[in-house]
Amino acid sequence: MDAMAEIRATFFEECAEQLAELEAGLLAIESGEADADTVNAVFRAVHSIKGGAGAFNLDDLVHFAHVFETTLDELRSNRLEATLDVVRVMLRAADVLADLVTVARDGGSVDAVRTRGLVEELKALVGGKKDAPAAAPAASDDGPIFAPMVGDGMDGLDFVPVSVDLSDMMDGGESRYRIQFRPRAELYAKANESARLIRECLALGSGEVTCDTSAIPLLTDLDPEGAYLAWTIELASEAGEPAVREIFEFVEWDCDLSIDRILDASAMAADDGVDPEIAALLARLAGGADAAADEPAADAPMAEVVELKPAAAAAAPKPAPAAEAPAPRKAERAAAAAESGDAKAAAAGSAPAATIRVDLERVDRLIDLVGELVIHQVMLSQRVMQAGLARASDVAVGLDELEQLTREIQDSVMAIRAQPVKSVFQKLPRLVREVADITGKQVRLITEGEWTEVDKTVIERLSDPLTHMIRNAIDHGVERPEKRVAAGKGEEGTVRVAAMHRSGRIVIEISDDGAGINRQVVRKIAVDKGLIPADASLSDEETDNLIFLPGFSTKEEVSELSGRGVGMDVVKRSIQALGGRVSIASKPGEGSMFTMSLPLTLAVLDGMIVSAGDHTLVVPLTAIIETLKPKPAEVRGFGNDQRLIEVRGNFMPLVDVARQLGYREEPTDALSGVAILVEAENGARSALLVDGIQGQRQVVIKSLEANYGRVPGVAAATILGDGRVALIIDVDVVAATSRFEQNYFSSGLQAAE
Amino acid sequence: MNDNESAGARELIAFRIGEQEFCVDIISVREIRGFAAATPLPHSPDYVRGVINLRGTVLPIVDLAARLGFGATIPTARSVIIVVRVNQQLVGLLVDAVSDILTVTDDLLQPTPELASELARAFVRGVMAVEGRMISLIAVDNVLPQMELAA
Repeated sequence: MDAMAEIRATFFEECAEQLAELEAGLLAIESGEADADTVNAVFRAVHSIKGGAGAFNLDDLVHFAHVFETTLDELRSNRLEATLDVVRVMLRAADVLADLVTVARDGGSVDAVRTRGLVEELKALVGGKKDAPAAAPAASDDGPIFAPMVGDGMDGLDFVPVSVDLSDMMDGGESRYRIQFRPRAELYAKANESARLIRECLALGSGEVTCDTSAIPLLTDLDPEGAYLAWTIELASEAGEPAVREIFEFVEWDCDLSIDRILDASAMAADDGVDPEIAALLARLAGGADAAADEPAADAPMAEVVELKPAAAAAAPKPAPAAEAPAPRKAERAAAAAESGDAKAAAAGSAPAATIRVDLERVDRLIDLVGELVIHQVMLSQRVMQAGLARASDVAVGLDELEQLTREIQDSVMAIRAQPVKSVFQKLPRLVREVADITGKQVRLITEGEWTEVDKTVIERLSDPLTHMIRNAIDHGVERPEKRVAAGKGEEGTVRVAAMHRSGRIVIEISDDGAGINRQVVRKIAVDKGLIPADASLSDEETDNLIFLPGFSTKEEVSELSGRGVGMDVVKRSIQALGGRVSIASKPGEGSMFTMSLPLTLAVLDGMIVSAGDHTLVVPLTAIIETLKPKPAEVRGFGNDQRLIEVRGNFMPLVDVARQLGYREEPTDALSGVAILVEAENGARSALLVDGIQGQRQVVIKSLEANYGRVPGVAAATILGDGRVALIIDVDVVAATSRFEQNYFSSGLQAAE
Repeated sequence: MNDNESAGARELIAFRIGEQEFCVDIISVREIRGFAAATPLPHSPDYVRGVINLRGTVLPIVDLAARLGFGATIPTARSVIIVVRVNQQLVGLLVDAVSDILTVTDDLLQPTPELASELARAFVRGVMAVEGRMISLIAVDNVLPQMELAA
C-alpha cells in the first residue's frame, strides 16, 4: 500500500473513533450528564475530523464539519444553551457527518437535501444567538473561523459585502506576521514540540525567530516539566493567516498565541498592477453567486481573475484551512494532525488503556495455531494412555500440566478476539432515532451491558439481526404517542437492549413497553396465509412464535421499514446460523421481549462425538435436547423406508445418519443404536439415529469451504485427537432431508449466509 | 499460471497413474506427502476421496485416476498426495507414485491428440516426449468439482 493510502486508511479509522466519541458525548449531553470536558471532547472530535478531511481535500466533509464545529463552539463557549432541541439537531448532524465520512471513504452520495437542511438548522442555532455569525473571520483565538460558508448561494450573497476582510485580501502577496507563541506546560505534556511548530511556520516562508528566555527562573526554582520559553517569529510568507493559524490549531488551547500582521506597503503593489482587492472581490462574488464553493475561481468571468488565481483562491473563503496547505506537505500534516488528535483523545478520556492495533489476520493465525496446539496436546495424551503409562507417572503428570497451560493459552487467545458489544450497540441510538422519525413515534433507547464481550466474528454477524429486531420493536411494538396516552402510558416508548453473559453464552434481550403481540391478529394471519390449519389449538407461546415462520408479516400496510420481504424468520435463521437461539415473551398491553442467546465464539463448539457407520461425527450440543436408547415398541416403520420414533406420546422422524450421509446402504439397527433428539431451526423435532456416542468435547471449527466447498448436511469440520478430520453435522439439513424439505432448506441456507 | 523465465523453461513434477505418466507445473505444487486415510464427504463425486488434516487445514483429496476416468486408485505404500494450489484453494492429488522432476521448455509441449477421451482432454493441457517417455501435462484448475462460488 502506498503511504498516502495508508494515511488515508488511518484517517478513516480515526474518524470512526471520533464519530463514536461524538455521539457518546452528545448522548451524555442529552441526558444531562455532560460537563465541560464532554463538550470539549465533542468539539474536538468534529474539529479533528475537519482537520483530517481538509488534508485529503474532502470538501463536502470539511464544509459540513465546519458548520457543525461553529455551532458546537457556541455551545462550548456557553453562548448557546444545550437544550433538548439543540442536542437533537446536533445528534442528527452527527448522523450526517457519519454519512459524509462513509461517502468520502466508499464513494456514493449523501442525501443533499438532508445535509443542506441540517446546515440551515445548525446555522440557525448560531444565528439566533449572534447577530453576525461571520463578522469576525479569524478574529477569535478559539480556532480558525472563516468567512461565511459559500456552500449555499443565498448565504454567500448575503455575506459577501460584510465578510470582505482586509487580511484575506492580502494573502495573494507576501505578507509579514508577528507570531508570539508562549507554550504552557500542557503543550509539552501532550507530546507537542515547539521546535516542530516553529519549523512548520518557517516552512511557510522565511522569517526570524527570537526566543524570550526572561521567564526562566533560577535553577532551584525550575520545574523540570514546566514551560518557560516564549518565541517571537517574524514571518514573511505568501500563505494566509489561516495557514499560519492552522499550524497551531492543535495546540491553541495549550499556549498563548497571538498572530499579528505587520502591514507592509511593498506587498500591496503586487501582481501586474491589477488590484488584488478587486480581483478577489470579483472572484468571491462570482463564487458566491454560483454557489461554486469548491472552485471559487474556476469559472470566474474575468481574465484578470484567472491570472490571479492563487490570490483569488486564497482570498475566497475556502472551507478548510488544511486545503490550502501545499500539496507535498499534506501527508506530513495529516500525520501531525493524527498524532495530536490522539494526544487529545488520550487527554480527554479519563484513564485510557494502552492498546495496539493488530492486523486481524495475525490474530486469526495465532488462533489457528493454538487450535493445532490443543489438537496435538490431546493426541499426545491419547498416545501416552495407549502406551500404558500410569496416570501418576511423571509423563502423565507433565502432560496434565501441559493441558492446563494449553487451555489457558486458548482462553487468552480467544480473549484477544473478544470485543465488547459496544461497537454494535453504539450504532443503535441512530437507528432508533431514524426509525422513530419515520414512524412518527417517540422512542427512548436504553442500552445495558455494552461492555459484555464476545468474539469478533459473532459481533460482526450480530448487527443485522439486532437491527432488524429493534426496527421491529419500534415499528410493530411501540404504539403511536396518542395511543400510548390513551392506554395510560407516557408518550415516549422505551426500547431496552441489554447484553449479559449467561452460562458460557451471550444473551441479548430486546424489550419494548409497547402493545405486545396481538395474538388474535397473529393467529388470523397465520391461518389466512395457510401457515397453520384454521382449527389448530395453540398455546399463547406457540402463537407468539408464529411470527418466526417464513412468509409471515404482521402489518397489513406495508411500511417503509417492514415491507422488504424480510421477516422475523430471517432473523431467526441468521441467529441459528451462528449457533444461537431466539425466543419471545409478550404480554398484551405491556410489551414484548425478544431474547437471543449466542455462543461466545465461532471458533470452537461444544459437540457430542458420535459414530455412524465407520465414521466419527460431531453433533453440535446446542441442537441436542436429549439422547435415548430406542426400545422395540417405540420404533415404527412409516411409508416406504422411513421410520418414526415415539417419545412420550409424540411421533417424530427417526433419521438414519449413516444412510443419510451415504456411509451405509442398509438401515442401521435402531435397537443397537442411540437416538439423539434434536430441534431444527423451525422448531421441528426429530431423532438422529447413530451407532453410538463416544463422548462430549469442545472442538475447533475448521472450514470446509476454504479448500473445498459447501457439503449438504455438513456444517463444518474439526480435527479429532487422533489427527483425523471429523465432520460436524448440520442438524437442520440432515433432519430436514428426511422430510423431503430440501428445497426449502437449501434456500434457507443461502439466506443465512 | 506463472510462466517462469524468459526462455519458457519450466520445471515439472512427473508422477505415475497406473502405467501412464503425468506431470504438473512445480509452481503450483506446495508439498508432497504420504497417503493418509481420508474422511469421506457425503454427497461428493466419486473422485473426491474425502478430506485429511494437513497441519490444521482441512484438505480435500482428489483421486486423479478416478478424475481422469481410469477408475478408483487402490492406495499402496507408494501412493502419495501432491498438494497443489488451485486459485486460492489447496487440493491434494492422490497419485500412484512420483517419478521425476523435469526441466522442459514450452516448445516440447504438443497439443493433446484428438483421439484422447473427452474427459482426459479436459484435464490434459498437452503431451510431451521426454527421454523416450510420453508425459501428459495436467491442468490442475479443473480437478475439483465446480462449486457455486456464490456461497
